[in-house]
Amino acid sequence: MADRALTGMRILDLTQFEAGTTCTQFLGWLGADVIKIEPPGGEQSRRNRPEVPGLDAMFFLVFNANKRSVTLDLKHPDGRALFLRLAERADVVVENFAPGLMEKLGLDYERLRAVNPRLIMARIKGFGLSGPYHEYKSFDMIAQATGGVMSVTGFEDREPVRCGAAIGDTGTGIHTAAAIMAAYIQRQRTGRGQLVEVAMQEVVANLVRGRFVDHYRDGRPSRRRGNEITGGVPGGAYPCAPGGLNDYAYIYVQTMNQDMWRAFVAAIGREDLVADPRCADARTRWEHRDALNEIIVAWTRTRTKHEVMAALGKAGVPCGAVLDTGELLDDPHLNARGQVHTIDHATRGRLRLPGCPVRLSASEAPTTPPPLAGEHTAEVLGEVLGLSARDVGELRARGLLG
Amino acid sequence: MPKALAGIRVLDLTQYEAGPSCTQMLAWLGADVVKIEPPAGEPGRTALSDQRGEDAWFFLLLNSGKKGVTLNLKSPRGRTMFERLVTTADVLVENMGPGAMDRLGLGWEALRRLNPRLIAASVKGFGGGGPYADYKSFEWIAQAMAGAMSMTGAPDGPPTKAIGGLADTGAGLHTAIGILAALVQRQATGVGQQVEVAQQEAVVNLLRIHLRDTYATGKPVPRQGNRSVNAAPSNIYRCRPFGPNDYVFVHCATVEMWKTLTKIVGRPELGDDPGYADRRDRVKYIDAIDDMIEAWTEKRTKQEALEILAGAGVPCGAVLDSTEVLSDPHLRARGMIVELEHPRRGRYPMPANPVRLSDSPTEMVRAPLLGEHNAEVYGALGYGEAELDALRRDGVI
Repeated sequence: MADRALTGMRILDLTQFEAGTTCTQFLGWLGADVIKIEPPGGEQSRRNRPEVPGLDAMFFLVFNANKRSVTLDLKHPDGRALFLRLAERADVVVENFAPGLMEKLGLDYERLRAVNPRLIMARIKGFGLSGPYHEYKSFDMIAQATGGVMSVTGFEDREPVRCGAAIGDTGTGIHTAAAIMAAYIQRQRTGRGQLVEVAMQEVVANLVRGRFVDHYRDGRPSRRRGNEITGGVPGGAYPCAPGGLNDYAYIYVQTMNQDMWRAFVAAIGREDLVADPRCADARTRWEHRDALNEIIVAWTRTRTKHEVMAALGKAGVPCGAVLDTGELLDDPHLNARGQVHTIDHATRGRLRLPGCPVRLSASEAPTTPPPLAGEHTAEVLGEVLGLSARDVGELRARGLLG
Repeated sequence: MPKALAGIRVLDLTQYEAGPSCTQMLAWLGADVVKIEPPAGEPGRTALSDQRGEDAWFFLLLNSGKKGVTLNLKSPRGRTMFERLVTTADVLVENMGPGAMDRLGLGWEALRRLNPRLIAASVKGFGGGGPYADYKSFEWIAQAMAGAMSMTGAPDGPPTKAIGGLADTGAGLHTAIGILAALVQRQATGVGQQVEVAQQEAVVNLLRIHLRDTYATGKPVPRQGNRSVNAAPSNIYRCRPFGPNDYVFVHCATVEMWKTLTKIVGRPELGDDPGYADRRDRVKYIDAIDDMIEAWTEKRTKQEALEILAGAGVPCGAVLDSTEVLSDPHLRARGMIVELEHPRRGRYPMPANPVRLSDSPTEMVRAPLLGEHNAEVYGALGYGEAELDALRRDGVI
């Protein structure tokens, strides 16, 4: 394969579940050699609700493409010694264990730095390595609650709602990937590695920062406002035919853009509204929003969300059909752009997975099948440490490799 | 102070959020980010302000650490100055509407001719090459088109938008990753390349976990409010004094977490009951379990519940509102919320960089005033004071 952006970067991947695995999968797409180190039997998420008993769970498959797998028992002192030998020859170590676990294993940053001063160690934690909450456990939803996104999502007269997308977990993975590459660039000048730390709570606060505006304006918390955009007509999710759970289109005409409003009324066949005094500008439209939204709904309700999107999209009006997860994998745009990749998995057969969400014109990002547990143990130990098949056999007989 | 991206110059043609969040991250990591705005300012600075004539809070939240210059790209002299800046740059980032850069004559081929080492990054709603390429997008459109809205909200309610910058800041961070990877590659190849991120695809990436149910059942993932179909307890629970955000989220993944929780709420027998050991089995008793937990949380504030539960190893998060996030003692102790001073807005709390590098500390510097660094940046290109005055008078800067 042609050189890729991160060709030559070797990553020891100690991650599990989502926040860490998304980071290393991303770096794998960009060309890094990601060696996933798993306990004998495999990382836990391989068994997280397996759809077919005994086979790797989809949970695992969506986060672990473009990696090699090595099984190694880090609870055994000789397993740790072997890990440290790998770390001597690696550029990056990534982990997202529960607080304190790496320290308990004797694999904290100081130890790793002692064997390889060029090593970049990335640590993902729910609340970070310091501060009053640092020992607290976290999950995606916990990070969403404490990062502020839940308080502003949902309807005003109802309870806070979590955001469907996993911004606490995958959001943290992408932040960590950015930090690792920045540290790698710095190392090319300094020759030294460093410690990278990312906290899930802080990642959510970063993703939601644009919604702190209300606080600055009046010192009060930002409120939940459902789907509405204050001042925007149209601005929200409009119901479409045939009226199913996700048959909606999100439409927004920018308040400051009267041309966009004219394009919108032309697209829905209501040019008469241009001269309507209720539609003089965004302010008057907002005052008459109930009546105007009724007119808009009358138009959307008789069309499918795809028809609504095609009509408005072509007219230059921002509009998105509310796609569900099944429609997503079939979406003609994502498929035309090659964003949905089909892989052949050793035991699960053919699968469609969303590919790398970043396109580099000089670095292809194919998706390779997630490895079986320990699939590359002998290959990696031979290639990186020069161990022979017999050496590996002996380690295996001692139970170090599972 | 050492910086990961010291010596990297970024020309920032971005506006609103998707682009500025990318270049702000690069600035935090040490790049020299020169934000180039039209002489009246970018729309995120002006149109979104709560006070006419003052920089919008929105702008201040997304443009820290950058230098600000003004430049009219449509004037011939402005164009020449821009081309000179391009020859000094490593990276250019833009998130204009589809086709806008080409209309300015600043498409990839033109930029590459000016500077073959340049990395040119674009954030678009849907990206080039598919049927939606020309469609406009912004945060909620991309959330709708990526499945996020379909899975957010109450089971008996409509699809609901999530009020985080999933598509905006999310796409911005994906773009930062692409730029950093291209910088690494350039060290080997000596040439730049194009980086493209579509908001729709960035949001798909953020929710790929939820596709697993679709693989298993072939059906769309349902909206579940705050509950999970696969685990109990996993929900929000009301706390005193019952304000709109007085809740904690509690999620028990392992049997140990469940046992600890049952002891705390005074029902230890359920912790020992094998019928309750698996989080999936507990879904059968979801209503009773939720009632049991809420009966306990209702007697406490969310901060009290957080300390007791999280302190005992039960994953728990207080539902913090935006004001509480800005004053959260943990975020303050860690320096994630810092106080900045703005010459016109005064002191304000600013969420800092969520990414910590031990050898590249983040310095938080407030967003620039409009054209604040014109003299510095154009001075370095050789423009003298008299020339800058003339350019200002002629509306070029």
